Order: sequence, then structure tokens, then C-alpha cells
Amino acid sequence: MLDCVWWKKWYSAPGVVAAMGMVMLVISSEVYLYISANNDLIKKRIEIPLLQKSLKELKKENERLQYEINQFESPAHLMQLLHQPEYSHLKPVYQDKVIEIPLPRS
Amino acid sequence: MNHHPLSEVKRLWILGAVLAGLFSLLVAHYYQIQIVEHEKWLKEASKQHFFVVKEPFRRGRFFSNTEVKIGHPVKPIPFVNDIEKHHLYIDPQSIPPSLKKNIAEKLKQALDLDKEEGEVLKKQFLKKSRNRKVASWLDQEVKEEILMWWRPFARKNRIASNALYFVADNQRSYPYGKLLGQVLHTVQTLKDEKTDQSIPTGGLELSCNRYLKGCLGKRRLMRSPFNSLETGEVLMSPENGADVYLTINHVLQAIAEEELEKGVKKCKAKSGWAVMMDPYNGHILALAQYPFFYPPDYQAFFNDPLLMENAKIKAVTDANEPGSIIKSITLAIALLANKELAAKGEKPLFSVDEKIPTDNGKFPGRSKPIVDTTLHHFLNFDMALQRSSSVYAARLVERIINRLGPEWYRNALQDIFGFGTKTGIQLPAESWGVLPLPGKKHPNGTFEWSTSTPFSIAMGYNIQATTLQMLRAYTVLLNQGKRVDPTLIKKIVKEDPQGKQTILYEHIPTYTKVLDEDICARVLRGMKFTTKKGGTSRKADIWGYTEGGKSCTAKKIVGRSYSETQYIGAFLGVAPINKPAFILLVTMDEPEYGYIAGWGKNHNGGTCSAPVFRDIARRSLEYLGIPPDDPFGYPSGDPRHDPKKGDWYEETESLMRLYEQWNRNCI
Repeated sequence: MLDCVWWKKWYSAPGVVAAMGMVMLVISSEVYLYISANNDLIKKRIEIPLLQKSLKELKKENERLQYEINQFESPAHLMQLLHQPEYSHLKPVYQDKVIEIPLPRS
Repeated sequence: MNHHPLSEVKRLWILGAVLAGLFSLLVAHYYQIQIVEHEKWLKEASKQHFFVVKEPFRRGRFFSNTEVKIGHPVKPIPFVNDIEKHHLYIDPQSIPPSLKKNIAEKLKQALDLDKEEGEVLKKQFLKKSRNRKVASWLDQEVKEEILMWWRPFARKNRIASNALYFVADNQRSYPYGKLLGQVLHTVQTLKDEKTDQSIPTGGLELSCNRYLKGCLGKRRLMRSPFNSLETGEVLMSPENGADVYLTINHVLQAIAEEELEKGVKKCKAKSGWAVMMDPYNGHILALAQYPFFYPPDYQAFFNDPLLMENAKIKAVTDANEPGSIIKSITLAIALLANKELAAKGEKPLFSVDEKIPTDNGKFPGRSKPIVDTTLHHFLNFDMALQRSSSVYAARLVERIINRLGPEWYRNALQDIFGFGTKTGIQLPAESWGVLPLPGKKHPNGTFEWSTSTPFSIAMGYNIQATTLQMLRAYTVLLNQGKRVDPTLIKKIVKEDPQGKQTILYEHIPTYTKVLDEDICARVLRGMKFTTKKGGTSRKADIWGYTEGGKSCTAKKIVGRSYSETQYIGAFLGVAPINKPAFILLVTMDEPEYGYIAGWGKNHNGGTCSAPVFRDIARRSLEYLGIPPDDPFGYPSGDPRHDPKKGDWYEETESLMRLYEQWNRNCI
């Protein structure tokens, strides 16, 4: 089969070899990029549940902290604070002193 | 060797056929497993490699009404919330007996248990079980502290790490502690094992339970040491319960509770309650009761009959004889009777300026005459309200009975003011109250309605009403003759896992026009005199604001007769009187009987409840941002004090002069 004339001609032509090399290079690069992208995707897929877990924990922590803030800001506690001399300057704001400014239209 | 070529080929064929047969069997078996029994083996594999865990849901929450404060940002403020806590379990069979004592001791320290509790914990380790709950509702910090010790300990001693484990659960938590305790109530510590739903103990938790319930979610996890318990495929998202937006404002509630506690302690009452309502839409803005009920301690309340009394909402469940508070209603009915007679072309029943004799308290059917606390010889409409005359009220009712009949009077009480009918408040065990019915008998055989009954009802006896029924009756007077039912719920909102909100219930007030506006305005005018000079409730005068109201000092029935020392002292007031922000009824149950020098009769509603009304009302009006409308109406000693410029000064002075003129000449 190697003795075939057309094969010899084609094989010995430098342009064809270069073209083959280019094709191989392009294919290899594409394959590499594909595998690399796939690896990144898998990494992300592994990260998602971990991020979900930490997000869930952050939400729970947020709820817990909000609960503690609410405890501190309980009206009974705020009224206790109001009786202290350092807050005695605070006065109720009457409705006629409140000015409502409409937000500008976006 | 001589080989026969045919026999070799034959053997090859046989071998080939056998292999082909075996291969066919393999293919057939493979077909059976993969195609025919696909579902079965898939389930089996899933069972071996995966398991499903329940995802807890959040029970619905209760939110404060932050819209009452005009011109301020509205943000959701929860009265109650579900906070994630942890239950600690052990697997006694996975723990070597030699280490059980050591582990129990360590847990005892971490959980801060006393000796007795420590012994109970140790016994759990001796049980032949795979899971024993040893501690409930632990904080995240405690869980982390235990795990920090447990993980290296388990590794070192080669114990399965899940021989000690935690299960997360949502606990009902109250950021404001006892605030609104009786109304909210709580849920039992243990949930329903089948449904995983909380079991309410009463209050709104019970009446709104069907909305507050949620649905458990499902999550599929892989059995793998690398697979964290918190990750996995969500098969079904948990569905949280619906949130209930209340009409109660947390600050108004806190003000009412603080002042009520002070008031009950000051007059040494058995208990007390205060209810504040918006007369225009029926929104209950505050519902306080002292002694308080702290929801997380519900077991202590339910195990003690004396404490259990404090777990119910007396403003809803207890119907008492309203006493003098009903006199404004009596007088309104008399004015209506005037109109009724005028429509028939008949002479009116009375005139508001008429000089009616009140020194004789004898009435048909009564063995004892009705007497006022102070003897008045003649009174008119305003004087009667100001001085709370029972004789005047009964005399008007006598005229009503004579001209229009008892049925007409009773119908007015029921159809116009709603006595004897439920308000429909969203709380369990609401009382109907008692409005006697002519012809109906008591269990002891006596008639509910006798000849003397209407005269007793005129001054608030022989009739029973809850606090909410009284407030509803007064909405007629404050709302230009339109009756409004009270409500505790503004709306109920359900949020799906995608965040989409659906309104399941929204309160739209319904108004029933039952009385003419001029009658209402005339009665309210009379109620302004009660807190002024000569009135029975001067202690209810709100500094800087206008107000009106009516007090009551009603004897309690003890055994089969009225007690001479046990009273209900109450005050119902409205402020500011020209455009009421709220109507507030303060009730003291059994204030200490007696006279206190410089203070007055302690058991009188005008003494024990009126000051509590004043303090709650003043602070509430300031919180609501309502500017003072009586700038000179301050107590003496205050630089703003100027009685002559104060609201209703001229009218009060004029009424006083007339009263003295009518009554001085008779002395």
C-alpha cells in the first residue's frame, strides 16, 4: 500500500504535513479547552452545595442576630432607656411636624 | 496423532453453540435486570446509596401593626419567630460500655446539668436503643462546643462519629418576652410525632393554627463519608406557614402593659386588663392583662389552677356586670326613644335640659330603692353623666318602659349595641355575655326578666358583657352611629418557596348603621364632663389632651349575693374627644376596698382605673404623634396650667352653677 503513487505524492508534499499538523493542533486545543471547561464546570458543581450550605448557615445566623437585635430593641427595653437622663432630651414627634417628601420619579 | 478433521469441526461447533447459549442467557438475564426489573433494582440501589431526610418548615409568625404611626417607616416587626435549635441524641449501642460514664460526665458539664439531671442522663446511656434524646432546644454555641470535643474523642476511641448526633428543629421564640403573652399564647414543647406540626396551647396560636401550619420538605442525601448532611437534592421544598399581621402595635401594647402593671400594684387588685381599640375600623391596638403570661413557661401556668387564670384573656372570656359604664348607652337609648315617639307624633320622653328629680330611688318591683353615691335632688342629662346618677338613668328607663315597653328597650340593647351577641373576635372561648330575655327562666326557676330588671340594666346590673362587647357598643357613639366589630387580624399572607406572596385573609371592616349622628354627638358631649370639675373621673383628665369617658364601680356577685367589699373598678375613655384616636377600657378586678386619704375610695373606677387610662392614653397619643389639643389643660404647678383657658372650662363652670342652683336650694 505504501508503494502507491498518490500516497507518496501526498505524503511527501510539505504543505499537507503542515496542514495536518495544524489540524492536529486545533483539534488538540479544542479537546484541551473542552476538557478544561468541563473540569471547571465539575468544580463549580462541587462548590454549589458547599456554597448552598454556607448560605443556609449565614441565613440562620442572620435570623439569630435579628432575633437578638429585636430582643435589644424590645419596646419595654427602649422605654427603660428613655427614663435614663442621657435620653431625657428625646421628645415625641407630632404628626404636624412630619414632612413627607415624595420620592423623585425614576 | 491422528486427528479426524470432521470431529474437530464438530467440537468447535458444539463449543460455539454452548458459548452462544451461555451468552444468550447472559443477555436474557441482563435484559431482565435492566429492562424488565429496571424499577425494582433502581429502588434497591437508591435505598442502598441514598436516603431521604425531612426538611423542617417555619411555622407562621405574628407581626406588629406598624402602620398606626403616621409619617414613619413601616417595617415588619415580629412578635414571635421560629429560631433553629438543636436536639441532642445518642446511640447507646454504638458506644463501648467502658466509655459511657466518661461521655455522660462530659455531656453533663457541657449541658450544665445538676446532679439529679446528670443521673437521668447516665441512665439514657444504659438503654438498649439506637437513639435516645438526651437534651432539647440547644443553642448553636452549645452544639459546636459539644462537637469540638466529640469529634477528636470519637476518632481517638474508635467510636462511630454518629453515636452522638444533633437534629435541628425550629423553636417558637419570643423576642419581646411576655409582651402580648395571653393573646399569642404558645405551642407545646413536643410536636405531633406523625405530622411534625406544633400543638397550640390557646390564643391566636390556636385560632390561626390552620394558617400557621406548614409542610415538611424532603431532601435526598447520598450515603458517603464525603457527602455532607446539609447538601443533597431537594425533592420537595419545605412550605412555611402563613404570616399573620395583627392590628396590635408593639409599642402601644408595651405602654399598656407597663402602666397596667403599675396600676394593678398601686390599687392592690387581683388582676387587671386594658383594651385599646380604633373606633373607626375595629382594630384592637393593644390588649394587656396583668399578671402576665410568659409563653415559654406555659407548663408552670397549666399545672397551677391559680396561675391558669392568668393564661386566659379575660377581656374576651369573662363577662361581668358593666356597672355605670352602661349609663351612656342608657341615655343614648332614651334619646332614641324621643325620636321614636316623635315619629309617632307623640310627646317626647324627656329633654336633655329637663330638671328631673333624683332624690327618690323607688322603682316598681324593687324591694330596695336605687341610691346614688351622693344624694342629688335634681339633675339634667349632662349632670347625670358627670355624676354617674343611677336614679336618673333608671328614671329614664322607667319612662321608656311605660311608653314603649320592655321589648323595645331590650331590642335596642341587642340590635343597636350588640349586647348578648358575640363580637366574632379571632380568639377562642369568647363569651356571649348575658342579656336577660323576657319569659326565659334561670336554672333555679326564676325569670331572667322581672319588673325590676330594666331599672337594674339601666345602671349596669342584671346584664353581663365582656370588655370587647362594651367597646363595640361604644363604637356606635364614636362612629356617627355605625357599629364596628373588633378584630385582631389585619391580614394573613402566605409566601411560597419562590417568594410569591398570596393574601389568604384581609380584614375589611363592616359598618352597621344603627343610630343617628346627633344622638351620638349629644352623648359624647355629656361624657366630656366626667373628667372635669364635679365629675366622677377627674383622675382620667389627660394632660394636654381632650378626653371623655365613663367610670364604673360594680359590686361583684360572691356566692348568691353582691359583695360589699369586692368590686370591679373600670374606666372607659376616648381621646382626643373631637377626633378619637382610640377608645380605651381599663378594668381592675377586686381592687383593695377602702378609702385612702388624699386619694379617694380605692375601689372606685374613677380612682383605681382612671389614672391608668390617663397614663396609657397620654403616652399612646405622644407615640402616635398626635399633637396636644388642650394646650392649657395641665395640672397645677405646670407652667402651661391655665384652667380658664382649658378645654370645656366654660361649659363645666356653667353646669356646676346650674347644679348648685338646683340642689343648694333643696338642702
